[in-house]
Amino acid sequence: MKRLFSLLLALTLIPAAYAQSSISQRIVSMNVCTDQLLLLLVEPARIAALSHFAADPAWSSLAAQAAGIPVNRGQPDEVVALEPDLVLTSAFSGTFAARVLERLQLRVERLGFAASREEVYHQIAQMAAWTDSNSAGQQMITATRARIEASVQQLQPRLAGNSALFLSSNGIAFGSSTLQDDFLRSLGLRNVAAEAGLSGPAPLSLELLLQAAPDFIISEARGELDSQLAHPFLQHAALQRLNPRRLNLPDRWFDCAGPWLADAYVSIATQLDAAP
Amino acid sequence: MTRAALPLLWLLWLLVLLLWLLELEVGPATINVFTALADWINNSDSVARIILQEVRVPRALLALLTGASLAISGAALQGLLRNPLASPDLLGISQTAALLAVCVLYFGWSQRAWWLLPLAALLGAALAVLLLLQLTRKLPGTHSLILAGLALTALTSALTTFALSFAPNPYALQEAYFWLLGSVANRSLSDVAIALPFMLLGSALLLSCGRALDALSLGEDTAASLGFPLARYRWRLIIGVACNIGAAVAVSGCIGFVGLIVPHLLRPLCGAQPGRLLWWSLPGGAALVLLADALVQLVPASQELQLGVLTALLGGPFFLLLLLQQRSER
Repeated sequence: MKRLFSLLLALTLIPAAYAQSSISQRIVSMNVCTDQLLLLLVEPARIAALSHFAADPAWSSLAAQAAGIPVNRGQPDEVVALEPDLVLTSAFSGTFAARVLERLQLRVERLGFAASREEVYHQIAQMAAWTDSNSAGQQMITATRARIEASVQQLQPRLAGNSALFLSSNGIAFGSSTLQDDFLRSLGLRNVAAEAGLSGPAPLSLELLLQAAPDFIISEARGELDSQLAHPFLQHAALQRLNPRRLNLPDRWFDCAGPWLADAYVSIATQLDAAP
Repeated sequence: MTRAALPLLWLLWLLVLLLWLLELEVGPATINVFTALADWINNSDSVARIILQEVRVPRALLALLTGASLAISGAALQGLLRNPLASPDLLGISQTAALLAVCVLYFGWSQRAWWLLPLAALLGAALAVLLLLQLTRKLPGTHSLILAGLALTALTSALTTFALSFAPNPYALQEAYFWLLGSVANRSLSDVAIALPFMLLGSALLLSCGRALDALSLGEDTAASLGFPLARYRWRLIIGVACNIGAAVAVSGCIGFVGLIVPHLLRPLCGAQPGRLLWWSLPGGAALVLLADALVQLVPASQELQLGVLTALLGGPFFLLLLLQQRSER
């Protein structure tokens, strides 16, 4: 009787133990940030679907790698139909869909918002832990950290003491508590948006921008889209006269945590070398 | 023009000048306007001068021009349609102009030539006026025209938003605010240069119809017997309104209610003569929009209010009062 009982106990425990050690094989990502880290950390066979931004080069640095992988539009019904064993999303997008999926007993993990280099490394580690790819994650963190530190060493003496401003569409500037602010300060640059009292991404008026007179304005060059209303300042006659040094960094390098942050540092060095 | 009224008209222009100077003083940055002016005269490139010359002067000029254009168009429309509730925004004329402007701007055609954007807006405005003129024949009565205008407004506003969501720029949709509510913030002297020729032409055309509008207020047949056949003046009025609204919308979006409020406030001063009202509406509209734009900048909001929000806050209750007044008159 005792042996039968322990046999039964063992039988019930086997699936549980198996489930715990199993690595998720059908991962669905509903956010462009988790899309990109997922592509870097796990083999494509384990990805059931990415978000519909994944293959759009305007949003994703890894659009080419996403080709051929199914996409989802973040609707709970289509995600359920994919029978995922892990759903990845951001803490700020698709929150309704994520709650529905949790109620259906699916495993949902939410990636936060990175406002500093340390938070970027932490998010990579988090993603690696969720997807059981810790060694790949650690490798990525170490390599990114090394590239950034090398660039900082090289750039800081050239830039320290100057002022700069990150400008995105619709006149949005990046104040304190943003990855852009951390980036500028790491190079010894003063962030005029933070000095003007902005916190997080927030609109900066043209007059205050002119008054702050930054040495550098960093924004994404979008070709002919720049002349449209979404970028009212970049073409404005007043800014042309102030004539700050313009540097071009894509917004997407700062929108999502990932190794491309190091590309931003390297790109600044390249742009300064091209025309000192 | 009567002798008593003329000094008053000059006084109104003086008010416009004072408000224009006030508008130069107002803004998020604290600058000394006199120092900035001195720098400008001495041709030294200070930040204060750049702010004054490239930000505040164009903004104040655009507020003045847009206000004058909207008000004179409102006065002309009220005369042409013989409907006291007519105004370019309530009838959907501004919104139709905005729709065509959006199509030209976001699908990349505006780079081909500077006049394409105002011309598209002008075309939209003209189409809307023509449509409304057709509707007045089929829909007699003051209010049915306003209802038709409401339908046109709803349709064109929706289409503007629809077009913006298909624009190749992912941020374009946020600009629906600008097009549907209107603003003169962050514009430059090149915007003034785009709008000014059309506004001058349009206002000249409308002012030349003054006596015809006076005659028209007695009815279409009487006007014809007085030597002002509507057929001859209709096109001049339509093109005049279209030039003004097209130019105003192309550079500042749909700023509402100015064309309604100003003619109504000034009508008692003009002895109910629609022709004279045109002259008064120019400074009246300029003063209203300059004042509204100064107020917009003084509201301590985290993001500057759109100018159209403020004019709608003034205009909405005003419109309701007008409706009640009309009811008691009947």
